[in-house]
Amino acid sequence: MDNDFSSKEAFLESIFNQYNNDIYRLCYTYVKRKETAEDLTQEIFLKCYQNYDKFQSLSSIKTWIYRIAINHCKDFLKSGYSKYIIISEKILRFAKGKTKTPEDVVLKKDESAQITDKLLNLPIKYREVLVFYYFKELKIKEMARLLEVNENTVKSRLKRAKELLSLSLPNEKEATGDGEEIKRNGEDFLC
Amino acid sequence: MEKKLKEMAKTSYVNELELSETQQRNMLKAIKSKGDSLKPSWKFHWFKNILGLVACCLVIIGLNFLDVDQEAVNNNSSSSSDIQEFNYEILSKAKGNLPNDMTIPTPFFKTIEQPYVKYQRNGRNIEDVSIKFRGEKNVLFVHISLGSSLKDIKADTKSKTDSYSYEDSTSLLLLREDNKPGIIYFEKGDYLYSFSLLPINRESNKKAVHYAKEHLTEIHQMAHQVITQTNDRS
Repeated sequence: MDNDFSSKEAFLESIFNQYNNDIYRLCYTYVKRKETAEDLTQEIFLKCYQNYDKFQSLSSIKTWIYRIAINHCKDFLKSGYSKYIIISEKILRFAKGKTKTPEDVVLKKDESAQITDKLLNLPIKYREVLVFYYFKELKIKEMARLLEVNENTVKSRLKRAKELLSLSLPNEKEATGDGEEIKRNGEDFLC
Repeated sequence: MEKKLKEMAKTSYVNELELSETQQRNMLKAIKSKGDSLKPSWKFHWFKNILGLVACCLVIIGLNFLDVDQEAVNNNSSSSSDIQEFNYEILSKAKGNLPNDMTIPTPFFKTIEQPYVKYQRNGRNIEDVSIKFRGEKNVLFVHISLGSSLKDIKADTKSKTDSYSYEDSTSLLLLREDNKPGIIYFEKGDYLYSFSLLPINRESNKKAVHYAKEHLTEIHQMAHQVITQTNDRS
């Protein structure tokens, strides 16, 4: 992507057109609510727009936007408002009992949807490594830089994330970690 | 598991999440308008910091000019009585603040503690000074006030049940039965000095009055000693 923009507006339009859905999905993996993810997406691009001056010195727009998005989503999850929403939803779910919504009845979830659901229920530090590795297809090095942890931490979180995920899935007997090798873009590691 | 995850990453419903054209358009519009209306960036912050600094300097200068008592400000007190309460200082410290023509009594009976002085300011002038000398058995309160005279005291107490035990042109000893045990007043220069001696453990005002009656001569001597001494500000 060309990093030279004629104006601030041009910069915003360019990054928004290229990354809006990407950021929207990333936000969804953090907050698991479409409406909240929409709001967060807007706020993230607003931050990008306001910090246009700071961006100039950076080389990768993608990393820069992702970094802003991660911080913003985590800040939101720490906020009182998000806790209020989570508690309200829990209360609603409790009040409804185990009754399935018409949507649930009609949509018989396939395996992919089931795994996605389980993935989204993992703790954030495990969830985000899976999202960046499988959905965004980032390298371990990029993930480490983005999440501000070292590469070994990313590897061990990835391994643990898969273990947790396989434990939560029914009929998942297959051992995930031991000896399984992942090769991507020339980087090998045991996970 | 690896296969399943890769498959999931391709077919997951998360990938199908998209903002509609209208949503995108509205969002972009909202970002631009919000971003432009907030506009602050570094220039505004810089200006705000400078403004804050200037405002702080002005407040400090203003406080110095008005001679506002810092302790009273820190204690968030607003009433005049509170301000008086917070004006307690050790005598040696307070001496520097007190007027030069005011005789400062030096502790004259074996003082154990450094006496505390309470003073009230009216602008730059100190109008009232209270000093408490704490001895082994007794406490002596000395109050010095500007602008009052013996005449005022006499006029003020004539109709009441006070009794004069000692009186001359410069001094007056009052024994009060109501709320104050016994006070000796002296006039010197522009100031009116009042002295009262109390036992440390006084149980009642009655007992204190009795004590004051018993120590009349002693109080008078002490008071006289203060009046006749020269100003010692060392």
